[in-house]
Amino acid sequence: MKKIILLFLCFCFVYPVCVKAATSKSGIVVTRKNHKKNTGKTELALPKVRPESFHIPDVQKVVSDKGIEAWLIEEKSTPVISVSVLFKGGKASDPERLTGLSVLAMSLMDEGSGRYSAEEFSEILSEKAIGLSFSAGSDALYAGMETLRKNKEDAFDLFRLALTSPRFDRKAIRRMKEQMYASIQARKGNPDAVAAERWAKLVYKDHPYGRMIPTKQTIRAITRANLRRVVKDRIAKDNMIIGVAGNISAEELKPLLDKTFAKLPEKSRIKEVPSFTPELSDRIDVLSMDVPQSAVIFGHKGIARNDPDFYAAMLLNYSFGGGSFAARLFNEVREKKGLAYSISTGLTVNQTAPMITGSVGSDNAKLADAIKIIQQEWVKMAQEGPTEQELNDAKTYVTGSFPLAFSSSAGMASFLAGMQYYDLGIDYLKNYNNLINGVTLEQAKETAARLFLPDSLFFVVVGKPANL
Amino acid sequence: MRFLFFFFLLFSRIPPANADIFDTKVFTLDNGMQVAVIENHRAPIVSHMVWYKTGAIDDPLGKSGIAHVLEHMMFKGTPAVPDGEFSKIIARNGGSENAFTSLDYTAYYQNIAKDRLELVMFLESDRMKNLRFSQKDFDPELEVVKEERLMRIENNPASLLSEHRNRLLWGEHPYARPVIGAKKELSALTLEDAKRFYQTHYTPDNAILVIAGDVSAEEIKPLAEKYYGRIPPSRTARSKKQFTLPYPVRSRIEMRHPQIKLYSLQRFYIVPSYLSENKEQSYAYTVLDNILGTYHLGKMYKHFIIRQKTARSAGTNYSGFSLSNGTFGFYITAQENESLNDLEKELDRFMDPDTVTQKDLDKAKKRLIADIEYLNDNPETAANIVGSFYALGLSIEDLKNWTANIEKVTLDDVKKAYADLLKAPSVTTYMMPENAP
Repeated sequence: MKKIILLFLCFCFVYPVCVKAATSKSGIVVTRKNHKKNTGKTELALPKVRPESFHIPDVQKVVSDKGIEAWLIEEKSTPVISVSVLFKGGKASDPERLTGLSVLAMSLMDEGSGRYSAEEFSEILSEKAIGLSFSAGSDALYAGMETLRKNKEDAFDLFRLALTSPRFDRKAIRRMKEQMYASIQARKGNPDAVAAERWAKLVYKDHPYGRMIPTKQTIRAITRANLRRVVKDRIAKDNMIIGVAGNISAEELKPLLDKTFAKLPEKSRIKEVPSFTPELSDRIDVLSMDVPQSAVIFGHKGIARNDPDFYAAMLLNYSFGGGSFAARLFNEVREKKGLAYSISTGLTVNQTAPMITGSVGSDNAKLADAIKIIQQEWVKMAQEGPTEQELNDAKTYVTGSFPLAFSSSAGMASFLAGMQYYDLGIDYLKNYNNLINGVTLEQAKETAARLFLPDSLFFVVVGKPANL
Repeated sequence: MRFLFFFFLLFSRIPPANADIFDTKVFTLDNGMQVAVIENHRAPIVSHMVWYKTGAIDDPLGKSGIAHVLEHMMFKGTPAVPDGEFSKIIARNGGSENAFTSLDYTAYYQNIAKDRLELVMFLESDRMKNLRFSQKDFDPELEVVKEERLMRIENNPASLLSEHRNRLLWGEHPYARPVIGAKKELSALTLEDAKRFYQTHYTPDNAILVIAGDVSAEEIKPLAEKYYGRIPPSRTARSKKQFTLPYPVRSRIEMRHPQIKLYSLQRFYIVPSYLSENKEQSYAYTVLDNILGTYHLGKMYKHFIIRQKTARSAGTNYSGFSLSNGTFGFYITAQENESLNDLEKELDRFMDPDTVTQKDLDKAKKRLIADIEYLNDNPETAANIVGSFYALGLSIEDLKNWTANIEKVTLDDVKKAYADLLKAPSVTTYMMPENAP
């Protein structure tokens, strides 16, 4: 335990709950030449990079005899096969009085299936080192399977069993409800979680995104019939997207797709989530909590994934507050002034309410200074946009990090599911370089004025900040 | 945060690898720096890591936190690469980077396209030798680390409690001190402290280079010599670290805090590690951890959650990859209306070496060994495991024999380890809401 608790990292970004989608998307990048020269002083000292061309993996569209479609990247050098399945319709589609329904349902998918009890099911999976995972996002349910090639027949079969025949035993339901009650309780003492909840409530108001965090009442109200309904209505063929990566060929995959997915219901029944644009003003909301460091979330509406300026927005976010140490906010708030350990921004690309949001944690005494800098930088970016150097650096980062996206089978599989979900096309990997490099400075400046809206920049603060 | 979770998996659940799986080649440069190269050709990428055999255990008395503050300073610049250019160059080249400090070691890494490997070797070797220390960099960075302490410790009562626990459990042993630094000591650290730590510990003969990915040992060797081989060694003979364990006591501490909303108890024992005295027992503790703590299948889960229904979560954790002794922990989150005193008594009844059966042992071994092949998927995982092994002074032989040593564990070994646990020094912690009865 001391290893776990005491392992401290230097630069560790803490992503607020809302930027996950953006960070996974910005990982999709393509390279070819693109080494960017360094600034004058250090150029001579650095070894020259001789760029090598990178063979972009081929994405195959595999369609089984019974019409199940999956996108596949075959990688023979690994012993692993990963499958990532996405079913449209997530937490936001839960009935209002049953908030938490899809989370509870997903937590029960591996708690006993078909003829196996929870314990028996776990035992088989662990002895064969087969990993199954189920989770609920805002707009979709996620199911994942990972196996060694030698166990692939069993693995797909157990995956089928979990997807089609979860038992929802009463005892298991009670156990998982208890765990959810505990996490609902624990959140109340965690300033980051309290801030996220406050943010959701104030920003999304009555929209389903504003009520995705369960309470004890909503969990208690969930019945076994409700849970079975989630599986029946949402785990179907017409809302399913499949990505596969690892040591398996298209011909090997086809019969396994049929065995695993062909018997799912044809049609799903999902509650539509209406589009929503939050109307926010440049206000600071303070919720008092007795902690030494305030937890803060800030932001406003963003740019949709299918917007023609999305790639410009992605590059802007990178330069402004996205994952690099070169980002403006990181430099101004952390490096120059020491006002925070963690500060970052991200684009959320939920289908119905795209956002740009950030988070920061700062000593109660210093927070007001940190917020002032964030506000000033927001104005500056809106008015002036990025510099040419910043835009170029963002492009070479995004394109240069492309090969890193292929470091694990699980990462590649979920990447392939994401490409289909956002309708990016099967040639996306090959086109990506051009999409990024095609962003001009003029377009980036125009997008900056569209994306950064100082009059809408809203802050939620949880803590005991001074001078606010 | 993501990385912390990853290390949790690495050290507690995924067993270290078998050399038949990792294609690892190891050699030593003339200046004493060890190099390990792990081939994985799935993508044209590399994980480039430098591990220093130094960590918070080397913090001088009264200067806790300095190893970690120095880790932050390592990003500040050298005469050749000044003013934060280091990170900017890596970012422009599409690399991702970070660093981490633990009690026993400190590591720096970059994941990057293979054609930029030489660039990061230049940058990393440059800061091993030529780091520039300026007050202008140090002052705001110390503030950043203080913010880090606020975020990780002061804002989180569970972390505050673990600081107290470690002090009590380890006494005058260096593991008693927090890696990030005790609050007062951290505030008083100086630029000169960081510089002294750097000069003492950051030398090639105290470091390991690990490169995993689309490379071969043949192509790495000349590059390693070119960049790292020219750095002079420290020439001071390093004595093997000696640790004195505290006089064994058992204690219990309680914490009430307004941020705590659930009742929970943890108990930590000091036990042998993979490197300490009686290190052969570490394999038995690894198996015991699996038998007791596995989710769904472990004895803790079955006893407290399925049968007694007194807990909402229950498990164990063996932490054996440490220079000095390791710890074996039990944790239980209580069901509503359960008293922690009763739960502790139940834990005492539960902890019975005779309840472990041959069947439990066979299943646990099977589970432990089944996962190993996965380590061949992602080169970064491989680099982390090989690096931590070498940083602790374990070798490729230990990696190679890990599976065989797990296979060799007998039922008597597990029972003996379990029985020894009952006699080991321990601290039990209770966490409760502020207004608990």
